[in-house]
Amino acid sequence: MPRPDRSTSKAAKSGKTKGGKPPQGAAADRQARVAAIQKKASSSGRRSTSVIWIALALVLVLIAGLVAWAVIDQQNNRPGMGAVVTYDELDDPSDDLGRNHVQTAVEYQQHPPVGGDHHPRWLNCGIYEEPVPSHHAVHSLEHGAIWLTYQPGIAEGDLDALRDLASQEFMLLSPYEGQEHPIMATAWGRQLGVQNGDDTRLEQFIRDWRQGPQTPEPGAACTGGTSVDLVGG
Amino acid sequence: MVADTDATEQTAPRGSRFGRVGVGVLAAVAVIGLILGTQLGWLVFGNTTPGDESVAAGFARDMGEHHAQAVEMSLEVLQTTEADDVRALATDIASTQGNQQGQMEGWIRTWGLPMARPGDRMDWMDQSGMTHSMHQVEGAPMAGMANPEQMESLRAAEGEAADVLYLQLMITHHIAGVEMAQAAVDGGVEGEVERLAAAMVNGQESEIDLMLGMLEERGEQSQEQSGLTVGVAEQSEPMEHEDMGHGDGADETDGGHADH
Repeated sequence: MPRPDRSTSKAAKSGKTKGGKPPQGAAADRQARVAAIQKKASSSGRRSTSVIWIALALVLVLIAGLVAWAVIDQQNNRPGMGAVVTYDELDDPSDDLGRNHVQTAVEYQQHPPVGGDHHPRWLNCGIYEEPVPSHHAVHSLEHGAIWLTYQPGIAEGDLDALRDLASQEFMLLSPYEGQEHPIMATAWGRQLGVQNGDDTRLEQFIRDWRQGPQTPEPGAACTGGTSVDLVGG
Repeated sequence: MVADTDATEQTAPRGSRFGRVGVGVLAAVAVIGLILGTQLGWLVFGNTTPGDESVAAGFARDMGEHHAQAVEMSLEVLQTTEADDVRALATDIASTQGNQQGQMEGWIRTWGLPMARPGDRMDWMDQSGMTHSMHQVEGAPMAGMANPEQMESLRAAEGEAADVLYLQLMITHHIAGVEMAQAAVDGGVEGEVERLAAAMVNGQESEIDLMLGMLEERGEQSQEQSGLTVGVAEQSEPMEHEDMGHGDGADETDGGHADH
């Protein structure tokens, strides 16, 4: 739409006098000046409008950036736990791991086992110097305990770190012959293998899964069970 | 002519004025909207429950572990005791502290915190300005708790010997429990946490009185009175009276601990 010709009215306004039109020569000059002012005014009007839009856009970009940073920062604060193997999904009604109480030794698929049938008496939580019976330990997993195991002969420094981790409640520590990794952490349906005792993922695993959402029997104790093998032979 | 001028004079400026005002209003609305939205976001998603390292969370975790042992000890003595008063007390402690342990565990889960503590036991008590003058026997996880050797002695004992050992261990247990609960109250916990902590202080204090009376009836002393650690083969350092929160009661011998 063509802009209306305002030169006449503007000239009349800027003239500020009740008078009529100024003389032609000066009028042309004034018209030109006024036109220049108008152009600057309207384009500065346009500029201030775009400034506002740009400012708005910048604010939005800033907010988006902050949100993205917060999300990424949160991810980075947790050590990469992708190495945790899941054997039983949460809220999985299929119950891949059995939970029956049996009075005999059980043959498990994982080493150490991550769940399955087990003895009616759980293994008292604590630090054991000798290998422990799996059929008791698995019951402790059912109660939410974390079972830390190590290949016999690991370095003393690693063992000290493990003992420190196992000094809390609901922790089991024992040597386990023939496991795949030097050090392993097991919860019901979850397992992690690491090389060193000071691997920060061990602590994160404990925070995630000790008496965690995977616990089939929440509220159960890890004392009052047995510290010895009750299956004869 | 003048009319035309007026007409053009009116439409054109109004067009640009409207444009500028409109954009200004839009910008103002957007900024206000952003501010309000941020406030709403903080309200809805902001953390208003105790954090992982708060006094409340530390108290819930530590007292939970503390209670668990009291329940274990009580269940142990219930299997062997022949005394009605011990049976009643052990039943009471087992059920009450078991329930309270459940309450505290529920808080931790509702607060979205891991059950595992981020640091060491009783770290939160440093926050409340409480000095660690609490007695802790060697090998025990926390102040007032029995060590594995003492627990084993309790399991192995029977009859009257078990009753006495239970009462002695539980008095020490309660003294520390009262101090921990008081530290939580002093540490500024609120609402349900404060209510339960205060109830623990009162409840366990009167149970200490009760148990001292029961020991006296049996001609026995508490660990604090005798200065001896029970249920262990070797005596480590004797227990010091001034550590004990339950000041005067420890030295009374006139059975003045009334209201059972």
